[in-house]
Amino acid sequence: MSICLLVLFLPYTLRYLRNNPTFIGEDSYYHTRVAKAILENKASFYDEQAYGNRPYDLNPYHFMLAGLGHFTSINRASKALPMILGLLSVLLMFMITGKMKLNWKLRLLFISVWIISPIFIYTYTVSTPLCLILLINLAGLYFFLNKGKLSLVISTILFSFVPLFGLYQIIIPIMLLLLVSIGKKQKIRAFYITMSVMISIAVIYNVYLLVVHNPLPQAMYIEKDLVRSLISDLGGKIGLGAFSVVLLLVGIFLMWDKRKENYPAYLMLIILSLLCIFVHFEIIIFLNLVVAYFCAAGALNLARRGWDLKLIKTFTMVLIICGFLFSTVSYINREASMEPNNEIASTFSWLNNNTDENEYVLSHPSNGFWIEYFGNRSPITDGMTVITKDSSKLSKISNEIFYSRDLNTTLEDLEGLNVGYIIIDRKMQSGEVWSKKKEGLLFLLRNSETFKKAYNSTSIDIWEIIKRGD
Amino acid sequence: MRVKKEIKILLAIFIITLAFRLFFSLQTPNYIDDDSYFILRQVSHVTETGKPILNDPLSYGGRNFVETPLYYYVLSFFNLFLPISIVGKVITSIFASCLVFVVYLLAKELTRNEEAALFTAFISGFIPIFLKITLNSVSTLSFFMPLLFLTIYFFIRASKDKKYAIFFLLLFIGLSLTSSLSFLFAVATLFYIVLSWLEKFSITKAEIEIALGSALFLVWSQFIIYKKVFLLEGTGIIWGNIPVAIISQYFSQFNLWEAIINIGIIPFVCGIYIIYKYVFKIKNKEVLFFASFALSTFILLWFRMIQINIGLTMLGIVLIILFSHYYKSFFEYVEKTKISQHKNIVFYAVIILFVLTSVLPSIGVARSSIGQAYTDTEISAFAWLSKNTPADATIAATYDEGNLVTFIAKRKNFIDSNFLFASDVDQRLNDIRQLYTSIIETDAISLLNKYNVTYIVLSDRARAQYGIKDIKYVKDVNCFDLAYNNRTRIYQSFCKTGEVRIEIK
Repeated sequence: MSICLLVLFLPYTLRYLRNNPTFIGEDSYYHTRVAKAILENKASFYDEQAYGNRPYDLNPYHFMLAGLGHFTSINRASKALPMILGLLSVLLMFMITGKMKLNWKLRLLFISVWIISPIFIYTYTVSTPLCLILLINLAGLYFFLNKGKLSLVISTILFSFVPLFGLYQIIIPIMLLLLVSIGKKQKIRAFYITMSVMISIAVIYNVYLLVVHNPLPQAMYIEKDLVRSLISDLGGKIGLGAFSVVLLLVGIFLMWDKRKENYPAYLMLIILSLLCIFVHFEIIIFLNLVVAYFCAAGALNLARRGWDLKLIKTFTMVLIICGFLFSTVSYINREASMEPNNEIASTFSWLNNNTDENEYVLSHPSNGFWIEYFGNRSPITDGMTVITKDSSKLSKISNEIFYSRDLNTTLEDLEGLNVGYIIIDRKMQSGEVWSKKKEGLLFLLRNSETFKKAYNSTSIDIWEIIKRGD
Repeated sequence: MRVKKEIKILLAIFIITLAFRLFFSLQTPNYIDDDSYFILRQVSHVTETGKPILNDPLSYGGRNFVETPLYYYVLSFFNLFLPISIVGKVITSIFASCLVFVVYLLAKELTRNEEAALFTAFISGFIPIFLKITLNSVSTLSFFMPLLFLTIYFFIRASKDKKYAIFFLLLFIGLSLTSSLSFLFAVATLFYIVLSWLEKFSITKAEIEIALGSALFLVWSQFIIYKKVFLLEGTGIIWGNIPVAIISQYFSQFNLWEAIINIGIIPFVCGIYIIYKYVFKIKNKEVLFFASFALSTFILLWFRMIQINIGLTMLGIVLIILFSHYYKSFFEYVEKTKISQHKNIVFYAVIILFVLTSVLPSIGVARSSIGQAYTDTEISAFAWLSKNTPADATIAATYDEGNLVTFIAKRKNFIDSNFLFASDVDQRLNDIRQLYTSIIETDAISLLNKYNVTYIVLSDRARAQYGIKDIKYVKDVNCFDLAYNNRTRIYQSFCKTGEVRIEIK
């Protein structure tokens, strides 16, 4: 528990010490904004701040966050809630591994490896529904493993919330429950009951969404640069540690002789990997559990087995400890430095007091949620654009504007979208959008009759579009 | 007495190899690549301050480096009591020549035949590709290659006798701190284990333990050293952030004929034959390890994941080690035939064949390395810059002269060949091309102002690279002055954009 507290508190502590009170990452701002809207009774079906009036992607996490916001500020709640859920998850995992009768050394090592993994740290420090999804699945599994009707009822109730996070989410509990139920008659019955309830709720909820919102919320999300996204040390925001990947392979190899006993772990590894790659990348939070298990089992196997070369054994065991610590320390430091920072907060806040609230802002989608939160303005694209109607058309027009050198065409597109301001930051100029200076829109911005630099900070410029006839 | 004779012959081989290298190396005081000047600068810095340069105010006008510094410390040790010129020429030649000892040890381990081991050691001193990249160069590979194969030797010994494990461990740690190419050892070992399993060889516990320990250490050490580069480049670190326009010069497509010429036809053909015979037919575990090494190197070369010169060097040394097996088998066969009474003639014939196919090409490579070295006129131009320009001046030169700007001229450069962790390399490469080839003065001055460049160096190298005789826009005397002219020209620029009034004399 103390390790858990340490890894969860350190990122924000370091951020405070570096004078950065903002949340970590972009997504947390969207979820906080939604919770705030619920708290202030302003949440309707449609997100009025988003371009194209897309529906809110509501889920139980937003309501939980809003609920906590009654007792403390929503900002504090956004930082505290993931950590609280993290502590509860660790407690549940400890109880679940006890129920599964895992050897205590393996239990301790498995939970420790899981806690210090970059994915755990991200899940329980950044305010996103991922922390609640994982907790609900763990809680549901714990009560499912208990005997008695009351436990089954509680488990079913808990799992019934899962479809509310997204259609793809029900695959995980179905798979988990099936694996623990195989060969146990009573458990199989319980599995059928729980699965039926989950699927029913999933169907009802998604039909409701289809009828009311159209289209359905995003069912699939596949990362473009998969290798980089999968491994946190290569830049992945929510990825496995490089050392964990190596130890995973070691664990798979060393436990191969006992694969019959460990077939659920091997099966889950394969299925979750495929789901993560081909269905939805966020399934990695569950894959991380299996990876942690193999890492722990592999490390324990190495420690217990007879080595021919004692020197290499000592060297290897020290390396394993150092390797894990390196990934953890490296990731915590990275999280503490993650955007946004004070410059972003103050620059985007300028929009709030100095721009027309009816005009839209064009920037890279990664800035979208910050424009909405700090600037209280609507970006053309943000991280949720994929569920907007005509999302591909929006992305296409944005790209055309970014890369066009034809002033008239660009102006027409900007006016068509009712864009009043363009935000360009250093990252966009260094490869995120453009790789050369004076490429596309950067070239056109030199036209002072059409574009005026309204505000600039060290690495962010806000350009105002001077309308024809102004 | 027999042991002493063997050592004497081996020492003689080493001396011949060293003498060969020094003969060609000392014919010019200069080096063939600008990377040598970067290494010398690092060595000097380590000697003075005890640390390598990690934050450089001169390269690219100011940037950070990410380095594996062991080689600099090793050379710096010698620099404490030898001048840098001797360190760069003599010590590096000694390191490269030490390959003969390592190849001898490996060949003897493989064949248990002294004659085969000695002959193999001899031919390892004349690998054309290894000479090409290490002669007249302070390249890390002079140190890395002998170290790599020595590590392999102790890997083989440690898997049979645990008392050698400590040597393997120390060497492997040293290897990882010398160059990121140490990953090749881990890849080869992995291939070896997989192939052993497929061929149903028994893999000893010690081999697996060593492979595991070395893989874990490699991942950990490389991620610590290159952490920031991994975050920035991701898997692109493999290609070292080399600009797209010139990457094919470093990672060119594998060409069989080029491989044969650069390795030597006899070692190449015989090495391949041994792989075929002892992996697929007779099945020899030690040959399998080298076959795995050759295979993994070939695959990395084929997919252009290692530089062509490095890959061919590795392949060459491995095939030469395997050649020792062929030598042994060949002469055992000769002993059984009628020509056994003429064994000496056969031996001399093999030597002549080897001289024709490996030594003569090596001499050709060595002679051309003198021609490819930076000329005295180029070096004196950069030396002139250090005495006649302000300390904060930025000098524009080609990317393969950039390190001469920082080491000899001690000034900021526009671009150099240390692309890893440098920003805007593609843009800079494009801009330097424009600087040399542009005919529009205002464009050129705009570029010069953008990077604060006040001097442009036009050497024969630049002329050849950009296909020019002179820079077209420098005729405007209001903005440019020919500050130095001795075949290599240095132009001073003193205009800002907007000040241009063209006057040509």
